[in-house]
Amino acid sequence: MEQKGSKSTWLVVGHDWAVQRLQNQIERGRLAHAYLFTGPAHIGKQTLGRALAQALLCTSDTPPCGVCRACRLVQQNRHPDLWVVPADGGILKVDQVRAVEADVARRPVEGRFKLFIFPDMHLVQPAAANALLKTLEEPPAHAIFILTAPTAAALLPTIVSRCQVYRLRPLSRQVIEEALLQWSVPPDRASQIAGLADGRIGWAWQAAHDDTLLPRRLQQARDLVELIYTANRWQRLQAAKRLAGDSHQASQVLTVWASVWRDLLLLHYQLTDRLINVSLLDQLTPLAEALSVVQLRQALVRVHRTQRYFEEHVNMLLALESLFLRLPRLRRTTF
Amino acid sequence: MHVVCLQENLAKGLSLVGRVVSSRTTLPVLSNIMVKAEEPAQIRLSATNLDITVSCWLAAKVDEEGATTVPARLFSEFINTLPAEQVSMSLSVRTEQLHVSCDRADANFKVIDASEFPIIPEAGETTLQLAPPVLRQMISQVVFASSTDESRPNLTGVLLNAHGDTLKMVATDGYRLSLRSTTLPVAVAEPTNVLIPARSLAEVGRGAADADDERMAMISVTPNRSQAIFQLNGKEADGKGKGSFHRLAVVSQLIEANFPKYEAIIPKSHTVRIQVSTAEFLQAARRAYLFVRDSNNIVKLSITPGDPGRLHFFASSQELGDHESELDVVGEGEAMEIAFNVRFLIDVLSVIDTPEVALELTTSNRPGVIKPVGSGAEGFLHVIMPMNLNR
Repeated sequence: MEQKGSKSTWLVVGHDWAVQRLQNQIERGRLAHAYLFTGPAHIGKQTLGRALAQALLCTSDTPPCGVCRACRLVQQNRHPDLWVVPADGGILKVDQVRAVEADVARRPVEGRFKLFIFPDMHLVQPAAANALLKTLEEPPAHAIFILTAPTAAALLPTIVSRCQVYRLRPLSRQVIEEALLQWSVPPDRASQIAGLADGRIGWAWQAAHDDTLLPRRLQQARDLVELIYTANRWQRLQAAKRLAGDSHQASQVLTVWASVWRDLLLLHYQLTDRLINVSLLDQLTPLAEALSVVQLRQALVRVHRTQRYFEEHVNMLLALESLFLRLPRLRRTTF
Repeated sequence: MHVVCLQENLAKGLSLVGRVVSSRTTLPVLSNIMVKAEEPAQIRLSATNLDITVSCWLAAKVDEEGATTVPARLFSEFINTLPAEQVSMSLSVRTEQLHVSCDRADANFKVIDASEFPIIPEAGETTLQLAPPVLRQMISQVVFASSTDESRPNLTGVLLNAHGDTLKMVATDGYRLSLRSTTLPVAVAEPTNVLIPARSLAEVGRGAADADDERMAMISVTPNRSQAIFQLNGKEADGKGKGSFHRLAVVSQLIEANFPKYEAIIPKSHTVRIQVSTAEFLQAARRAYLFVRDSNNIVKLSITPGDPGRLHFFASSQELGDHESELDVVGEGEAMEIAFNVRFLIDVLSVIDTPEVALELTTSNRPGVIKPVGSGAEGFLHVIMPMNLNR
C-alpha cells in the first residue's frame, strides 16, 4: 500500500494500522528487537515480516521501495542479511535455532540490520524455544527478530514478553476483492474468491493462481453435507480416520466447515446476502430448515473447539472422531 | 563480459577463494564463485559464506567488462583439468551461460546473476600496515586459543586492538588465553578495537602464506564497523608455471559482543619462574600426551627450582599405564606441583619460535603463564588455567 507523505511501498495488502505503526517506528528510530505477528493462517503475517525486512534493508531514499536490488532479494528470501527459519517437517528444531545463534552476533553483511524471521514459532521444540530465549534476551543492536504464530497463547509467555505483539486480523472482503482486481483477476472470479477467502489474503492469492483450489474447497464443503446425511457411525469414524491422516488438510477442512455452519445459521434466519458458500445454496437451504438453531450453534462451537484442540496438539484422530460422531444427523428426503 | 587469462593463474585464484564457498542452501548464490572482468586488465574472483569473503585479482586480457557467478565446485574442478594454456571466458546474458574455452575443450556453465552476490566492501577506514610474516605469526599464536562454542560468540573471536604504534591480538576460550603484540611500522591515527571470528583470521593466515612477504599487508575496518578487510599482495610470476595473482582480499564480518576484560586474567606476579628449552618441553609434553589423550589430558608437573633445577612430568591412565620424565631447567622460587591440560601445553609450545620458554607460576590453583625468552618487543604470552591436582 502507499503511505501518505512518502513514496514508501509496503508490499502488504491491508493491515494498514500495523504498517503505519512500523513505518513510524522506523522513521523515529524506535524499533523493537523482536516482533510477534499473530493471526489466522494466510492473512499475511509473513508477508508483513518480509515487508518490514524490506523497509529496513532497502537502499532507496524512501524505504521500502519494493524495486531496488535489496527489496527484490528480500522478496525472494535471498538477501544475505535475511534469515528465514521455517519449521523443518512440522517442528522448529533446536539445531535450527543454534545455527542462527552463531550468526546473530555477526555484524550485517550489507545493511545496518540483520533480520531473522521465524514463521512457525508455535511449532517450536521446547529446547529450541529456550535456546532462542537466550538470544532474544540480549540481542546485538543490529539484530531484529520477527516471529509469527496463530496466537500469542501458543508461545511461551517468556518469549511473548520479549516481543512487540501485533494481532493481525482477517481482512475485509472488499480489501481482498480490490487486491485481486489489482492482480488482474477477472471481476466475477475476484468477487467469488474474496467471498470464500474468509479474510485470508494469502489464500485468495493462492486461489487466484491455482485453479484446483476452488473446486477442492467446494468438495470439502460438500463432504460435510454428505456427512450430515450419513447416519452410520462406522462410516463416520472411517471418514474421521481418512482426514486425520493429513493434519494440514484437516485444519483446512475445519476452516471450510466452520464457514458452512456459519452460513447455515444465517440461512436459518433467511440472511442470504452475507453467505460465504453461495454456490452451495441449494444444498444448504434444506439443511438450514431441517436443523434447529441449537443444533446449528452447537455444531459451529464444536468445529471451533476442534480447531482449538489442533493448536493444542491433542490427538488429532480422537478429536476428529469425537467431532464427527456428534455432528447432527439427518435423513435425506427424497422427492 | 569477455576475458582471456592463463589457466594456471585462474586455477591458483580459484584454489585461494574456493575454500570459503558455503552450502547455505537458502542462498544458492553462495555456492557460486563470482567472476568479474575489470578494466584495465584483471579478473576478480570472489567467494563468500557470509562470514568470510575472499577475493583474488589476477592478470587477464579484458575485451569486455562484466560479472557473473558460476557454480564453484564444477568450475574449479573443470579449470584444474585444463592444460596450461589460455582460457577464454564469455558471458551470454540471453542464455544465462558462461562459455569457457581452452585448447580444444569447451564448456557452458549455468550462471546466477552477479547482482545476487552479496555486496563486498572495497576498503575501510583506519588502515594499518603489517609485514605478512608478522601477521602470519601473530595469527598462528592466538587463533587456537579461541573457543569453538558458538553459544558464546564473544569467545569465538580474536580481539584486534590497535593503539598508537602497538597492535595486539587476544583470544581466549575461558581456560587459556593468548596475547600477542607487535610494534606497527606506522602508528594508527585512531585506536581500533574489533572482534574478528577466529575462523576468518585462520583464513587470512592461510592467504598470507601465499603473499609477497616484501610488500605490506593492509588491515582496515569498514565505516559502519561491520567488516574487517585484510589486503595482501601476490608474488610476481616465477615462470615455473605455478600460477600467480595480483592481490588477495579477505573480508571478515565482525562479531558484535563484548570481549572479556582479559587484563584481569593475566597474573601480575609470580613466585616460581623456570626457564626451559622449548623443543625439549614440547617433546616431553607430546610424550606425556600419548598416555592421557584418551582420558583426561592431565599431566602433573613437579618443579624443583635451582641451577640446574628439575621439571618432572607425570602422566597416567587407568587403562594404558603411566609415564614419567624429567628435564633440566633454570629456575627460582619454591618447589611446587601443578597439573595442566597437556593438549594446551602442546598447542602453545608449537607456536613459539624462540629456543627457550619461561613458565611462571604462583600456586597450584592459579593460572600459569608461558612466555618466549628473548623475543624482545614482539611480546607473546599465554595464560593456562591449571587442572585440579586431586583428580
